[in-house]
Amino acid sequence: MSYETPCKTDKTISYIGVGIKKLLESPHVWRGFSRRSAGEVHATGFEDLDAHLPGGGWPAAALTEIIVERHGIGELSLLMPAMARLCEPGLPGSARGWIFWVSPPFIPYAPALSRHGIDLDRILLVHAPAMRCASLWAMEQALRAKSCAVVLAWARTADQTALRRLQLAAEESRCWTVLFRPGTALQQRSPAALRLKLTRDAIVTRVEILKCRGARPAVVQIRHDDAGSTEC
Amino acid sequence: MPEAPNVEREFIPEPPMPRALETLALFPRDPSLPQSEPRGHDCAQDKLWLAIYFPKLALESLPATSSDEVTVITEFRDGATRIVSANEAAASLGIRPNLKLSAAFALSESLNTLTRRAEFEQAKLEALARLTIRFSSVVSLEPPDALLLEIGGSLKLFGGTEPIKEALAAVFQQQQITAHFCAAPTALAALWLVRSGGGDVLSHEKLAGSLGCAPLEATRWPDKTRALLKNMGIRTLGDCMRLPRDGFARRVGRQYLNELDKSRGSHDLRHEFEPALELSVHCEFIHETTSMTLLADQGKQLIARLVEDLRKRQIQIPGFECVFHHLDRALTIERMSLAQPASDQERLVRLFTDRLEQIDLSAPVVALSLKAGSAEPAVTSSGVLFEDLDGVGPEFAKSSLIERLQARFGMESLYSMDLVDEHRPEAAWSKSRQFLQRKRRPPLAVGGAFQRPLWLLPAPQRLPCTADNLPCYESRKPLRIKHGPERIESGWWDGGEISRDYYVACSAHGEKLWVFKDHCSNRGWYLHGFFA
Repeated sequence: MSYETPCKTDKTISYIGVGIKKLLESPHVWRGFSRRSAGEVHATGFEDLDAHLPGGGWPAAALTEIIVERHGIGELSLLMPAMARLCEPGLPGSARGWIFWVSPPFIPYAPALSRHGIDLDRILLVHAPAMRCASLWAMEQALRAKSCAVVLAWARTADQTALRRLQLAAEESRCWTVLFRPGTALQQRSPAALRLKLTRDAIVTRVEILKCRGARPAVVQIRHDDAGSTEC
Repeated sequence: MPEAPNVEREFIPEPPMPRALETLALFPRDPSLPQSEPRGHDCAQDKLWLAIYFPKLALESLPATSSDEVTVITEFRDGATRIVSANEAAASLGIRPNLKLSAAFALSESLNTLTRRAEFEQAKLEALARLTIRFSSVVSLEPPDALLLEIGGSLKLFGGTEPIKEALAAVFQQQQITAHFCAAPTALAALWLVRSGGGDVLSHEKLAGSLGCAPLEATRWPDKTRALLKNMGIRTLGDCMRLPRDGFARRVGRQYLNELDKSRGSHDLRHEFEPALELSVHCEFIHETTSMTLLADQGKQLIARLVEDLRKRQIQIPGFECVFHHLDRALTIERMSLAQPASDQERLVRLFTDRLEQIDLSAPVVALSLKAGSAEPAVTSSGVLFEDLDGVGPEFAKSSLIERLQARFGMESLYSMDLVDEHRPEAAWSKSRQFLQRKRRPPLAVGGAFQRPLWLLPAPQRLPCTADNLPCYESRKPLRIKHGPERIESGWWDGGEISRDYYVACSAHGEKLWVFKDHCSNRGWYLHGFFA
């Protein structure tokens, strides 16, 4: 775009360019399909899903909320390719932190994780007591410590303020934060950058993008082959 | 000391008849006795010892009393209770050390007497020694009331004897302890000179002269020995040194001759003071308290003291114990461990306050103490110049997260994972609490070509069955089997025997399940995981 390169011959054009740029950067201006705010992303490993997400992947420095009605419908497989990529050697420091699990509903099974390419040495798992805010507290501590690459958490209840805090903490620490919530959370508004709902239909996991900063809601279907490509 | 003429040193005159010498000797020569006085060159020339003498330690080591009160410290010695130390009020009435208590009562009837507590004095002396270790690498205790510091090696750093003395004087003034100093080339000379109120002697040449004027009392030899010497008309150390060595050794005692030699530079082995590695800080409350704010405040102050101690000694602690004292009740002990040894005040305080929020104290607290059982040398590393360069802090950010989570949720609830070479699915992984020092191990391929689920149930869940013995899961329709069976039979040798056929099955809701049919006990169907 012409206004982005300073023009020595025609100064007026350059001035106009600066003016427009300033205007576009103002927080009062909202643009429909801005890819500007996409920031850093982690590719999901699923082409269809990448195509619908701004920047082409999971927002790497924001809160992602995934609503699952039932467990075991492909919610972990969805994250595995991106997490495995974070475990590849030779990544920058920001990707070398913990893979932190907060109060998972079952045991993440180490042999399966290992087969997916997850480095078990980087896994840190905490079972927070069932008190209302314990999981969220643990999440926030992890984000503030800036020592995690991924934070995966399961919380039954979380109020608006807590979610907002988490979103801010995730942005500040530039950490990929995923919060799994039950179906009841659908009635609640969410400050998360990305909000998905997962359902399962036979061999297909249906990913419904409910809210996404910088993109439109959509539905993506991810096929789980019987050959087990997504499981193993 | 100028060399005494030979005549004075031997009872035997210059031998005109050498053969008669041995027979005529009043005190035959002892071949094991060093024949000459030690010279300065026996010991290293650059050594300089600073003696610190605490004349009122007996009084000052006891809890403070009002200075107006006539207070004396007493001890039972030589068949009578005698004064050991008297405060200023008592001294102004003429109460001196060594006076009998009955005599002291004659001088003042409102006498406040305290019994001497040797253990208090020793503890105080050790505490004072701990304050001096930053001035010298060699500190030696001289119970009951003196310290010896080898400052020869510290002169350059501090810029001479006087600055060291001034700095030490400031330290002791802050502790409200009376201290006198004296430096000399040998430890014993410094000690005797400081007791006799002598001045510094910085060279070996002047040592004998200065020591010569010191009275015998400075040696603290037993009364009997001193009386013996006094009866001989010997009042000063100089008189002693002029005596013939053989005779002195025989009539007074070999060890006293040794001491005289040591004071003039013969080899003197001293016990070095090593501060105990056990670290503990303690504070008492005036009243019983349940206030968390007060406890947190006091805890912070104690941690600050502990950290100061750690910093001075360049050590780190792997954890500490927090002990809450109650009246007439068992102690409440909270153990806090760090993921990595640390001496970082902020980190310890945060750990303490986090834990304090979780503690349910059974009773009001009267005292609080922190104890660090073990310590190790501090490992310091370079800081980060461009902080946040790649978004992740160094290792300590990782370990501080672990500590906080452990402090809040308990040690058990936090873990990492390891693979185990084992066929039983539930035993194919293990919890690991070695978070930061993970050892590399070869990758294990558990399960071979068979699928493994991402979610494992903590314990297999029994599934209801249809009439023809097919499993159901949250529905009346039986599960559709996709893969299987995978037979796992193992563990007959350790009592955890299993014999199962594992299948991958689909439920009516679309979940992909890992189920097995048990062949060991009841032949039932169980759910063991989800392919999530």
